[in-house]
Amino acid sequence: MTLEIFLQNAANGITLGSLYALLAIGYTMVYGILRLINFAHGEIFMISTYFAFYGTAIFALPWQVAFVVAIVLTALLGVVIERAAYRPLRDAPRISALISAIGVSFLMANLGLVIFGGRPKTFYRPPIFQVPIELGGVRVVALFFVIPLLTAILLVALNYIVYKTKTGLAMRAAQWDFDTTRLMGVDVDRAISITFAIGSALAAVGGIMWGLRFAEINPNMGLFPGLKCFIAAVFGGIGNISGAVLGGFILGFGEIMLVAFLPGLAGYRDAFAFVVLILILLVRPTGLLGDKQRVKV
Amino acid sequence: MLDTNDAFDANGAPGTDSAPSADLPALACESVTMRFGGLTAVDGFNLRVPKGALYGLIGPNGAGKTTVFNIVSGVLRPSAGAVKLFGVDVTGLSPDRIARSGIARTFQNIRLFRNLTVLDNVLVGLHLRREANLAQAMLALPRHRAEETQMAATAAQLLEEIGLAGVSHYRASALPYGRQRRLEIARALATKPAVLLLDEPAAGMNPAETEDLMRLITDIRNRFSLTILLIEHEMKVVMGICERMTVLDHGDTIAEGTPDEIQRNDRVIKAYLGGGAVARA
Repeated sequence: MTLEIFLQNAANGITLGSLYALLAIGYTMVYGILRLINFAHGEIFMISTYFAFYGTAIFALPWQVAFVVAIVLTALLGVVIERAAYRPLRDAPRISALISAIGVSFLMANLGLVIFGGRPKTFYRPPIFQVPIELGGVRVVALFFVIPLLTAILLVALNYIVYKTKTGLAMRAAQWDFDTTRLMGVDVDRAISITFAIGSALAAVGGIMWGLRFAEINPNMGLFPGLKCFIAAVFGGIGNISGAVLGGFILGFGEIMLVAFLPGLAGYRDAFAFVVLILILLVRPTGLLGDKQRVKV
Repeated sequence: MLDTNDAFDANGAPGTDSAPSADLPALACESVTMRFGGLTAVDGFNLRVPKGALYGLIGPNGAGKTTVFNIVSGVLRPSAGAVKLFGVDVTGLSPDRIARSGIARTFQNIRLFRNLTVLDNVLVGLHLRREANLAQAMLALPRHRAEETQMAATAAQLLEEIGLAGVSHYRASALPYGRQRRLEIARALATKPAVLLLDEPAAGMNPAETEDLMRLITDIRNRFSLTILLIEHEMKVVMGICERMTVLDHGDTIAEGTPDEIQRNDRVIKAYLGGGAVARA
């Protein structure tokens, strides 16, 4: 393999890793605060691409506007899902909310099939992202720079929200103990809604960039990225945001490199993530950066 | 927060001079009853804690003391009866709204945010009194930052006053037990309560620590012009610092009065020595 080809693959890997990281954060944040795997997260991701698609294709909005609207709508969708499907089960056994999450996931995927149709749609790709850039003998389009850059900016912003704002502090406190957090005058429900809004908005950014990258969207596209990013979150240590980002990058990069170095295994591309999941659960069940098991008081 | 009730701030916030009329208790429970299924944990509980008092709530294990605290702080909704803060009914409000109206508490088994630093624990409480929301935090950066700096200063000062200066960047879980108790009190004070509920603050402390704690409690009562309601097992603590107290046994109020009166009360002695069971049988 020449250096150029390796760099080409590295660019692919970083891009895919960025997308996985954005999606994995949503899983890990929701788990952190509710101890719930939000299986609907992949479908939230899928629907965000349709919001953007309809914004550009049907409502003929300028792409900048359409994308922003799609992100806002997706954030609202996340909040509504929590209100409707998880909040009523807040005091129920945790398995109930998990089942509800799986139900929402199926519901949305199938609603997607009915409403959007099963035939894949072509995602609008603004030419600005397709400008070819040549760097060190590697030719890539601008999008390959935009995705990691935007991801980095969002991670900084997220870090700021979680560690430097009142809302972030409320989220971190609620993560430990709902009752006591309420006794400090914090509206825990609001903190949870914001968590869902942030996670879903990041999924929407990931979804839109996914559309820009792969050009095609369909109602089942949430399934595999959803599962893989769930694995990325577990791999990094579920509940830990840095862990989710790390897990996302390792998974995205690993997947691309597996195919690059061992083309014979290209068919096992999707299996890679699951093998990683099995290994991490065997070797280090709390994930790379996960805390040791703690009991929620 | 949007729904802070002005009536509470006018009456309840410490430092305001508009003292409510003398006969209006800072905290009152009126015929509060709590049933869990067939078990009546608290039955027709009445309590009047005057403003500025250091009031004790005592009783043997299972008497219903902590249940009363859970009702007053909004963790439990009573089956019947009312809780009033300076005459304003707060019965059944959610815990965050009760906290905002001016009641703070600590726990028998310490419930700090063990994953956060000492400073952050206090900041969670302080944030309650602050207006800036997430959007403002993201957009109005300079103003937000100035506010943050000021809050950190307030928190540091509070930690200093409570004797926790110098450990503000430790994880709460890293503190020794006695200091965790102090931190819990500091965190409660950060919400600027009018009424502070202390649930067995001396539990698990050695005599020297208990001595320090008693000083701390009377001290903060004066310095923060608080009304304090205290649950305690350690008789020495209650008798030493409380002006009045109520004694609970099996959910019933069996006595109410000054420490002297309580110490001479037959029903209290029976309840504590276990004779109560015989008397009831």
